[in-house]
Amino acid sequence: MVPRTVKSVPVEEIVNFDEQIDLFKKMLADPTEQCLMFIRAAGGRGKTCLLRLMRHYCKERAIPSCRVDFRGEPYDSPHLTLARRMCQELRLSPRHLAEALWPLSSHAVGARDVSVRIEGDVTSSNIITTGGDVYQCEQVVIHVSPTNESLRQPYIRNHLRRAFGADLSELAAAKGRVVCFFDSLEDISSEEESWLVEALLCPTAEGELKDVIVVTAGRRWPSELEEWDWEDHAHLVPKLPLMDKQQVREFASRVGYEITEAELEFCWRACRGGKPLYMGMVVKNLRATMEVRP
Amino acid sequence: MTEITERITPEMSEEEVLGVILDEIMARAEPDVAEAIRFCAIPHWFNEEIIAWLRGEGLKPSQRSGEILAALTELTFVGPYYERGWAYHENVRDLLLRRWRERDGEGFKELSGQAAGYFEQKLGEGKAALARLFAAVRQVLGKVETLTEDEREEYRREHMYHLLATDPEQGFELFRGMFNRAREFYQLSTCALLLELAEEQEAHLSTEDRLWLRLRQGQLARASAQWPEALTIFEGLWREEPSPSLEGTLANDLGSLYKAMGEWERAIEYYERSLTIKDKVGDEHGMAVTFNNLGLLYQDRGEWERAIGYYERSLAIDERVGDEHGMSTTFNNLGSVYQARGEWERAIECYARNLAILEKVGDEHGMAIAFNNLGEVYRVKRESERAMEYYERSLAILEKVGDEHRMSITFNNLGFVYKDKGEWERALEYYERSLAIDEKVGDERGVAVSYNNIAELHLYQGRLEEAVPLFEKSLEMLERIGDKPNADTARENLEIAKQEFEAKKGQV
Repeated sequence: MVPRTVKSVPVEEIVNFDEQIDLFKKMLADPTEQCLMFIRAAGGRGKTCLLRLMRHYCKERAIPSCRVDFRGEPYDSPHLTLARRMCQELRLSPRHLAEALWPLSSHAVGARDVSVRIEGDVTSSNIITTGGDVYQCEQVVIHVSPTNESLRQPYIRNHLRRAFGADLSELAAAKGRVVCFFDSLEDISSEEESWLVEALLCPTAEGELKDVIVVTAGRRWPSELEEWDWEDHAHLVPKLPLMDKQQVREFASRVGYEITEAELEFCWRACRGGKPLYMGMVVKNLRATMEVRP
Repeated sequence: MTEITERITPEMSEEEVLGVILDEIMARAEPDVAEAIRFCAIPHWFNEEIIAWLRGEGLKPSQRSGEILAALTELTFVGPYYERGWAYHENVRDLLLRRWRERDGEGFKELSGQAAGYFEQKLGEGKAALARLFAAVRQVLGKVETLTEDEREEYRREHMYHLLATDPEQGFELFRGMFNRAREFYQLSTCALLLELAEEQEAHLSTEDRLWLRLRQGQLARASAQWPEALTIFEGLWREEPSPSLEGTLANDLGSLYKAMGEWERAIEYYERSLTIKDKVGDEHGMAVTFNNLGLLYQDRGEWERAIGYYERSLAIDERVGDEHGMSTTFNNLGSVYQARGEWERAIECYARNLAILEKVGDEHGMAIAFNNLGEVYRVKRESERAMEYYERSLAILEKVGDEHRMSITFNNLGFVYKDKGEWERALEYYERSLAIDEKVGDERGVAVSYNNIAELHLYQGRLEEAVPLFEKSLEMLERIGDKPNADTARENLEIAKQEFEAKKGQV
């Protein structure tokens, strides 16, 4: 058998996510639309791919976006660490967060005066001490230890939550829209989820965070979904579409094969009626190494 | 070869179909690529170096390892994993691992051991002299990649994860240490991730270790204030007739859970059960912990004598086994009971002994708290100079470590000292410094208390027009946040101020 090279074509380019993408576009375009979208689907249905497509759409239009995957990455003290990560991805200079965190930052250790002022905008800002020292806001935020005992105080957490909200709102006001994507929701820890609900989902649902869109994807809904009347505030996407036979044919063609009817039938059966993960494996990987005969 | 089309039937489950497809992909791939597809399922993620290591090339990948990685990344179930490398889709990885464990348990263990060796090498923490030598040579050659602290943590977790499969006893010991450390620093998401990793390897653990794992799940749920979930886990464990050692700890955890839920009698019942069991198995350290917990419970109930009795029993054990951390905690608790009872000298003695331990172990933050506590005792004893001395020492450390919340408390306490001395202006100065921090960090309760304290100063000096609105603001905030005791004080103060205000108006 002669190994053949196949073209690299991401499955998501073929799966028909039009309905979900259209909804997302509507959320971006229409200020009266709900700003939350929760996607729930089993493994292998293309959740990650769909988020990638949505993010690509944002990038093409210079809409700031961030993506957090909860798989394998713990965010202890999320009001610091998750907020910090999101700011980095959004290229947001965290003015309010830095000011709130200043007393806990290692830059402030030993400083007699605790009062500082902030200069700059959402893309670049500095903290200036009364002694004239200048620190980038990003650096101040980085130089806070997640194990700092003060971070456990409820009012500090609230303070940081509000500060992050203020930063995010300013970015949204400056750029028009900000989109936050969260993937692998089934792997989120309870403290991370509490933060997500309190810092982003509720303020977005209640209109407190304006022009911020949040999309979550996972094998489950956010855990507090039942306790809240989310349907009034969020688009719930309870399943993702399977690929139809035409899409399987198209995918095969894109990776370099003109598939026969018999082969199509086989692939369709093997990928359990168009499940994207299986489809990719059958058509691309298997087809690359063997001839499929009916 | 049987055609794949014949092997996939409509009756097959999704997982079975996935298995057939995977088998076929591996059967048709180059042998070393097929082997790599299998062993790359062992770690949670992989890169060229890991492939090389698992192929027995050490840490220097050959050209072939690079080619194998390139082949793997072409597979549609392989995707990028942060900036570290690549990972399989969970469904594929889960299936590969499960089948491997079932079909070739020994081979799986062997390769897990190799994976553990990789992360051990990378951490430079290997026991083998070879590992150190290897690291030294790489350092000389300038090839040592310094891992960031986050990376080191991740490599430690991966090391522990693979060790759980190859040497479950050592792996579980590592897990226990990492979990306890994360819990001590309140890293709840890390605790959750560690539990998830250990659960993945649960099949390799002994029955006893599996039960300990569930106990940790309960402890995490309790720490996350998920009490019903914690209770379900603890009660489930209780029914499984755990070993005496586990039972003792479990009873203590159930006691703490019931205490948090406000069910004091059940909490006492479980703490006492825990003591009986721990006594039987000779777990002295565990007994000291439970005595201390009982002390806290009776202290919360205002039963001072009983609280002192339990703290003293805890202390006696800590002293005998030389547990300085335990002694420090118990001396502090004991000091606070004596302080509440007005036994100043005894309180001072306990705080001073706590301070001596903290100094010895170099716990600066703990020292700041102890200095403040000592200051507070001297303040109520009306020994202003000594009180101020301790507050100042506390402040110096708090400023250094950046603990603004406690700085605000100490400023407030200093304000009290000056108020007691009748130095109103200085008292006001400190209350205002406390208020400024509370406002800055958004501590509503602190702000409300400071308003009340400042208003009191105005009241003492007869500035009733200024006192009344401040008391009102304080009362409104305290009622809003539900701080009843302080709201009662503010209300009383407001009444007095209003009465005096009316009386003053009458005089005029």
